[in-house]
Amino acid sequence: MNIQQLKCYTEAQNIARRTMEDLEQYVASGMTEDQIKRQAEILLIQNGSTSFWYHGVGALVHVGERTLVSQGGREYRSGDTRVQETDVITVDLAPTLGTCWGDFARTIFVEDGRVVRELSELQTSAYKAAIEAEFKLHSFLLEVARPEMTFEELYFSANALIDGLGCKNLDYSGNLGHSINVLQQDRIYIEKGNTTPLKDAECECFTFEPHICKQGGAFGVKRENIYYFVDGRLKEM
Amino acid sequence: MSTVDCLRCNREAQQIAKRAFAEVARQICPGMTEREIKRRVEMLLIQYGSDSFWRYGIGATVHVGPRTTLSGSARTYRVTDLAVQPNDCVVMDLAPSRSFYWGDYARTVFLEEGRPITEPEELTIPAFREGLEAEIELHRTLRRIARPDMTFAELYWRMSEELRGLGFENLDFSCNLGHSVELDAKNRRFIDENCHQPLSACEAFTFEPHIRRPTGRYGFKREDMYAFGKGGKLEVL
Repeated sequence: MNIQQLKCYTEAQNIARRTMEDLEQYVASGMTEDQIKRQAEILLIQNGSTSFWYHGVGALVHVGERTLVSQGGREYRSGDTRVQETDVITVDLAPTLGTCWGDFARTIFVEDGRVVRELSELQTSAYKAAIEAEFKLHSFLLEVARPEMTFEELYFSANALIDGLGCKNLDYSGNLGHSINVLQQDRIYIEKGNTTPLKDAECECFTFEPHICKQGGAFGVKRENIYYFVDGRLKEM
Repeated sequence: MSTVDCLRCNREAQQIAKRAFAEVARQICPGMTEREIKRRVEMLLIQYGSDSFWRYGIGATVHVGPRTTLSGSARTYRVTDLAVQPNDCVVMDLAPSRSFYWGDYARTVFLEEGRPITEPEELTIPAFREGLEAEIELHRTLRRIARPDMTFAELYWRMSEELRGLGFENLDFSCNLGHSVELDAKNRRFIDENCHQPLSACEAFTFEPHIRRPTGRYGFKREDMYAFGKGGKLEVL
């Protein structure tokens, strides 16, 4: 990845990041999943996204119990589920800048009808536990990932940690992320059987996006970043 | 889904496109850039109910001024900051979806002394008026001659002859005049010399001649989606 490409991917990712910040200010209890999806996509465009790379869908939004649902983009339909006074929303954004993708997911927590923007201020212990597991997984990735590590090795070690944290991987195809490509169909995944080294991903960057729930939990959480190697160490884009 | 249900979704998607176009067409003024027009119309597509953009994730391809003669795959489309002039043309091609059923709608907006115009009787610049009248005439001819058992290739030859007779040339980069309406863009059949299937082989198709005078500075486009109704009569969705 040359400097121009890195700049382009970083900007696409920043479009998603800005959109998530704007969306957190917009979301409130009583809103529907569909309403939040539309607002997220409008914000992506306002923030500079030139297309939506994931099946033409800019934002996959799930509210409440539906945060446990994992499905492909072609199956996704936003629903009329309303955000409750205390609730969980997962948002996965797919902006594009030219041919460069952004890919960014966060879990939004609502307590007493308002979005809790500082996760350290969460009151609901189940929410705290779930999001802490996400942070541990991303910290683990930064610690263990090396350019020669294969996607499969990462898959096994991260899934072992998911189990160790008392969580379950909710992804419908069991993967934990994917390469960043120009064409959607060229993606390779953090999954069993993929022996490609992490450094050999097409655009030399990949996403890590564990979609998990606590064992027996009533909601799912997701946190996604794009990562790339600098001098052999992983860096968040 | 039954054919009736599919066409209902296509019709809904088409209504979304028509509404979004009508609103943005009124707003276009000198100084507005291609990028701004694209953003505005895509945001309206979402606001009015589009849940994805089917053409490579792009909701609207917009071309301004001399760029209206450009034709290429949406995959290579890059929006620019070219600004609309007081006497100018803007071509918009919209690709909303409802539950992944397509809308596909293109129109040309003309500016005369800074005022946006979409009806031929209001146009005073001869080149603009002739371009729009030729488009309307081509669609009128299509509705008169198309029959369910006519092949895509036969339609292509008839309409190409008509187009040349009106003193225009086909600008389309792959020389087609439209395509079948599908759930997957890869499955499209085109109104070109190579497709010998009857028009009735698809549930709906678009007709979208992109034309100019051989020495003309501007390109014109007008696209509608058509399906055969009772008695084999062609209807606009």
